[in-house]
Amino acid sequence: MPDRALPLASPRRCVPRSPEAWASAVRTAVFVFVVAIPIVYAAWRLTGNDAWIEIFFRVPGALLLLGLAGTAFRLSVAVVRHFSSGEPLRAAWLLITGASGCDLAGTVCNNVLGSGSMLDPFRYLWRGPVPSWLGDAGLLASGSCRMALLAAGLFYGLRAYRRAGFPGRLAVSDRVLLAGVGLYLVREAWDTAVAIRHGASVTLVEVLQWPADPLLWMLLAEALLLFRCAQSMGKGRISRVWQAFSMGVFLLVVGDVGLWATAYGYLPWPWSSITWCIWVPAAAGFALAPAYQLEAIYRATQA
Amino acid sequence: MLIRYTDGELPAGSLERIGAHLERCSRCRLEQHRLKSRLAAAAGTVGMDPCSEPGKTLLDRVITATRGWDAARSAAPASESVKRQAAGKLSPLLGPRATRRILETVPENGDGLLPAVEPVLALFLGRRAAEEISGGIAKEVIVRIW
Repeated sequence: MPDRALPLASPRRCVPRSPEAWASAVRTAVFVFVVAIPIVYAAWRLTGNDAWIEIFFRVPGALLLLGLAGTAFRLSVAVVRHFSSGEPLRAAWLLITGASGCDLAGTVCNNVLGSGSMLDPFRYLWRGPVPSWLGDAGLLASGSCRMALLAAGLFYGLRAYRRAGFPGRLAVSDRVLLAGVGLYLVREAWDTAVAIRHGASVTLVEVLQWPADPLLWMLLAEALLLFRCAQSMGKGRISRVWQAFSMGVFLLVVGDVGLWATAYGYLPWPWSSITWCIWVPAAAGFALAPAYQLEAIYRATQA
Repeated sequence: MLIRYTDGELPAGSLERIGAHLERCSRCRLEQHRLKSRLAAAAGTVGMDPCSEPGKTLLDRVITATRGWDAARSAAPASESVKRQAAGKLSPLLGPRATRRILETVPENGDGLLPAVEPVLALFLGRRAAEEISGGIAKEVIVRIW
């Protein structure tokens, strides 16, 4: 996973006011980032200087990830306010907001504090070693905690579709994908078991992180179902919300598989760096979903 | 006066006087011609047979036919229009397939449109937003048409 960055203290006038503007800002930022990737890769290959890649992902990439996580959290909080207590999607958005908060905390802990990049305050303020619990806390927050909250939130979303009379059905391709990811989980568990048998030490944080991957599989199943539900309604503002979540979850799974492949040597350097590019569009999916939800509410009430 | 003259409703003396005036005055003849043309056109619009109901005056027949046409229009086509306009408002939000499926359950006379739509909107957008949209549909679509 690439390094992430500190939150930007944006001046108030620079903060988009309407949900459409938020969505547009997110799409533009991700577009610029994606367009810059081949340029940076070309510069890196031509000069042979790793700093191109390193600085690109550690500074602008990290800032973008942090901005997207902050946007997702801020907009999710705004969405919750539009639902009264007792409404099914209020529970969904409360859980999703919790997941966004965990992601934001994880992004700060893992990719800013102690990252060693120019965004890391410890680099300027603290001469000693960075406390290890920060990284552990970040891993737990953006791993098991976030996945569990998000899975519960998306479950409420699925329930809303069922209640509305639009239950989704998995297509054959979805089942194949789920089976493939299931096999990956089995393989990953097998690799972990082999590593432990060969004397690898396991920390408490690692054990607490074990549910993250099964939760990710569950999230993928929910995301695919939500995608099919949204498809059954046709192209509308409400569908876009849940399709954005589906896209985010799908890319999380791809990124996770990439991390595993890199860690176990299946994806050698420099190809492994491709997985770094996935986190930004994935984060964009989670930021766009609440933006689209707010857009739907605002358009509906102001029409 | 000209209508009543054209329908032959006036007393004999008045008929003669107006007839004599029309022979002399080209402007009044033109006005009578225009009047006849307009009444015939109105009868055609509302689907009235100009030769039917010979006992009634032309004006009475036009009024009767207009009322019948209006009653027929309000029976079916208006509800279709309510559904169509509601679909126009809901489709960008819910999606075309969902809108079609929800409106399928609404009877032809448009009754029960809001109770069918509001729970789905409330599920996805919240009760407050759903009430506002329903209010908008009621005001802009239903009230305007009926």
